[in-house]
Amino acid sequence: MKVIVIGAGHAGIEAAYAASKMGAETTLVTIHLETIAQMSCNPSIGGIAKGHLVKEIDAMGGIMARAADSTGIHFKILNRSKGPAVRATRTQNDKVKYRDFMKSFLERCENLRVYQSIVSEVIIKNGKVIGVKFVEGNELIADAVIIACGTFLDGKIYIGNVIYNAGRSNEPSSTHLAENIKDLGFKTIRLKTGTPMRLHSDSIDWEKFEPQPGDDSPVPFSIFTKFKVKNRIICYLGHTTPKVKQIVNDNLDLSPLFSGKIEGIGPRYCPSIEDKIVKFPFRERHHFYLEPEGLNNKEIYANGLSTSLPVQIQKEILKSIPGLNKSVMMRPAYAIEYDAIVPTQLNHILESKSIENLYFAGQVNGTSGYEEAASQGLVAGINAVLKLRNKDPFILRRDEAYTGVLIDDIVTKGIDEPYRLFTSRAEFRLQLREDNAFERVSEYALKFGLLDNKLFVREMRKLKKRKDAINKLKETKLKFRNKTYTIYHLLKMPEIDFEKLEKLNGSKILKNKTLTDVSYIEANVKYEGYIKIQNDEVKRMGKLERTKIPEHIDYLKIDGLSTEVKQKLLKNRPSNLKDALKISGVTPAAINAISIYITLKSKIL
Amino acid sequence: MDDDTIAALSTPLGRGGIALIRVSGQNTLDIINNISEKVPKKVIPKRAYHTFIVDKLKRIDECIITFYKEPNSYTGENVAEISIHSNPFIIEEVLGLILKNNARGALPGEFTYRAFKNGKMDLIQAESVNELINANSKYYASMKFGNLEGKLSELMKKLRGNLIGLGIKIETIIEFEEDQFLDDIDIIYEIRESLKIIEKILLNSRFTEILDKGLNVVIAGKVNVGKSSLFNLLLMEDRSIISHIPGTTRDFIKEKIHINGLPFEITDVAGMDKEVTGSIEKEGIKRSYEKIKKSDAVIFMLDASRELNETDLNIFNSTKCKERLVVVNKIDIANKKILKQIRSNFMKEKIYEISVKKNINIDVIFSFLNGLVNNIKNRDIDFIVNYRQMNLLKRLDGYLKTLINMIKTKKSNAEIIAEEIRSAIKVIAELTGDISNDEILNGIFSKFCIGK
Repeated sequence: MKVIVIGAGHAGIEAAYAASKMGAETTLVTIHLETIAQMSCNPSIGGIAKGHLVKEIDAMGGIMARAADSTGIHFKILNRSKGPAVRATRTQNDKVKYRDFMKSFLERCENLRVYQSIVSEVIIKNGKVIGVKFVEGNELIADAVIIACGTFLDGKIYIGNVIYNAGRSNEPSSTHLAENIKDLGFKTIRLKTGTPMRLHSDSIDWEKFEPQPGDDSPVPFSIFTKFKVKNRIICYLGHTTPKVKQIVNDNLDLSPLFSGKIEGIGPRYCPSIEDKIVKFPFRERHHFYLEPEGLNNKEIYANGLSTSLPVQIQKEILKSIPGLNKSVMMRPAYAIEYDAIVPTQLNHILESKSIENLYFAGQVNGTSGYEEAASQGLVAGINAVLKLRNKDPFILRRDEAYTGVLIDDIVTKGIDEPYRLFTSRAEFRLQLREDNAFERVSEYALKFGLLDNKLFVREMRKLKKRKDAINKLKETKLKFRNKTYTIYHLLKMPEIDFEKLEKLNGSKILKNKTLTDVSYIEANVKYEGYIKIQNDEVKRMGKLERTKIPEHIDYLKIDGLSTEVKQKLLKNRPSNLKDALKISGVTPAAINAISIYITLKSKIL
Repeated sequence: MDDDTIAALSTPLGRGGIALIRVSGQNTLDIINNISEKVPKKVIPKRAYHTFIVDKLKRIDECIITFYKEPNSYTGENVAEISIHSNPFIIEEVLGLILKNNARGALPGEFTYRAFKNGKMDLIQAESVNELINANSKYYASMKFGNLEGKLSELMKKLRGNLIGLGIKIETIIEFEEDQFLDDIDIIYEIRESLKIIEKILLNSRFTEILDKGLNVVIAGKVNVGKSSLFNLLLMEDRSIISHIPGTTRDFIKEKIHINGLPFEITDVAGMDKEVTGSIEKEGIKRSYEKIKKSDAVIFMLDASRELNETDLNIFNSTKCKERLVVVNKIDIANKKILKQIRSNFMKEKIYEISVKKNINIDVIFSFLNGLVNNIKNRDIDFIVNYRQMNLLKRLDGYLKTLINMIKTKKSNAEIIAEEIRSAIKVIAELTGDISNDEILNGIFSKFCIGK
């Protein structure tokens, strides 16, 4: 069994590793061996919702979390003051070490070959993929191909009026593959993203910025990590000035974003500085972060200053920011426009609906973010092998994992801007937490051979410890405000967290506890009622799923639906009401209308 | 089913002045052209055409046809309303003719369903149409119109807007790690105002039932005190058996009457004397007390010609907490000693002396019933809800109260507050049948400048 993965970015790595670990003879093709796992944009992994994904990837045996821990130089739990469901891990990473870690990790994998070349086309026979052809003219046969080429499909970099073809700064884009994909009938969408300038550390007046240190006791990402993680750098917070606003406004016509040169749709959540200034004209300043790109590295990532304005204007902007006025630019900011395939052409295992055994994963599917890419890579890699073995597909449900939410969102609803995961996208947010990622997905990984038994047993023991602790809470009683409660009941009160509970108790309830232990216990006690309600909803959704939509249903006949909704339904042809509901713009009222139509029809005929 | 045009009789089937047949769908215009003598091809919408229904040149009936052009019609489709004479045979013939011209019989509620589907009304409005048709009283019907005009829908729309505003804030706090707390006083104030209205609706939820089923008034008293006579007097017709053999009404009889546009459900219960021995009578007594317990008001009858007994006292005591009218019947054949006895036993009670048989002082009964009506009418409500809506509103009430409390105490975590907001929005969606999942997320990007 042979699997080829095109692209060794965050998606490709996980795909290739999972496939090889599951026993497939895997070839990972990259344009440039030195930039495997390159962090093209910010030097960090995780964040709210993204950290959740990383924990899932880790619990499924993926590599990302391990790499983040091994190369982490700044560790922080975000939303620490909020509840366990929205707490999330984020690391700042040494970019060079990160790709070195990945390269040497992959080079040591059994069944896995890393190969430098450019794929010019995928070879299709009888509706199935059978291999790839390289620009050098040679071919490689395979049973499954996973395309994870990121922004390299027809990538174009914009800096002011300068435009050149590239998949990433100074790396060639894959124009042949882009053409080939279009020739195969895939619909694509033009997207855009950007990255800020990198500055020389010694040229920054650090006194002018507000330090953002990591956590006092840093927590690792991965259940594989046995060493103690340490904070080695500090990030800094700064603000732009009214002068920046003026410079940007004066030079808007030089920005390809506003002059009309860039047609691609950019992410609203990660806007360029000119976007922010135009969209929020009443704001005099905008914040940004200065993040070191590594330890033996003087490059500083100016998070929040991404722009496509000409280099000269970028310099003027820097000059008008106190603390950066003498800064030396090492790399300019740029915007990149690229092709993504319309992800509704894929099924839930990320396989093309039209060509068998051809998978797409990562940014090429219109998502943004390393973590979003990695989780797709893992799912595609696992499924490529499962399918070739005639095993059941591996599909995570929306109530089971953020990975499930992400894939389900893009393949059923499609995208209209680069898709980033948010916790708001999850209907079952309280159940999808970092602290229970292992419980949610690890059994699958064990079954697929992606987690070894020893590790699984060790983590199961930890899980049992948490569950036992919860049961113990129900047995211990305590006086509080002149009333006697079980400490379980006390922990349910909004003002009491685990720490306060132990204080009230006068002694430790759980010895040697980790943040995961505490979060897990708090969540299970505090969210109990909500989770019950959500479980009912899961059941209701199951009912919708069982209501099949007749294959030849004529949506045009259902008068209650808007033309837009009708077209979307015609295009997507959902097989049941639940899938119909997932299509963007399809409202429960529309579902009602379809449901009534189905019943009416069955009554009349 | 290519030409999905539906037709049905919209008035009750029977003999009468006018029957109305409604046709809706694409073929409507063809149908009225085909079946009538002189509706022109270029029909002017909303004009009443006086013409004849014809089948193969044979005139079936004289009629008035009004055409409504889509979307300006009840269903949002082309609609015709055909008024003919209400005779079952004529109706059958005309309907048959329409169905032959490419239409099918409408399913129950299908016109309203189409109106809902075509966005002519939301779920709440669609429901109130159905209830308007089934409404029991004039008063109820007028309030249902309040619904139809979308008062509840309007309230829900506003509340939903406020909740989405709050949702956008809280989600932004979660997603972008903003260390602030919800303190949008304006939004919270508006949600409180909406909550007040919801609470008022719920407080009057019993009222919905009263309007629907009628205000339940029980006539109680010992055997042969004249309950059935009063009952019949109220009904103004002889329905129950009146005889002088005690205990004729073995179980109970219920009837609806209308006073001032409000329905009453008057119950004539079995005599409630302890002395009766038959097992059926005993069961009857038990049921009578149950009826009293469930009633909204009681007319308690005493007998001016017979001595006060234990039954009288029992009934009096069992009706203490009820809206109650105490009357002494048979004043025309009253025994003065007994009247004195009654007065001394019920000192604090206002007791009216009447004679149902001789029609003496019967007005007190009607003023009592009128008074009950006025109590209700004075309540400040201009729209009402059905049971489904009521249950959803109860849930919504719960979510909103929790939400406001959470915001007030500032102790709850953002994701829990977000959960309450989501739940409340979902309930509103169930009420109005309308939701858009991406609204909050889109709102985040349009209202907030997102940095990291």
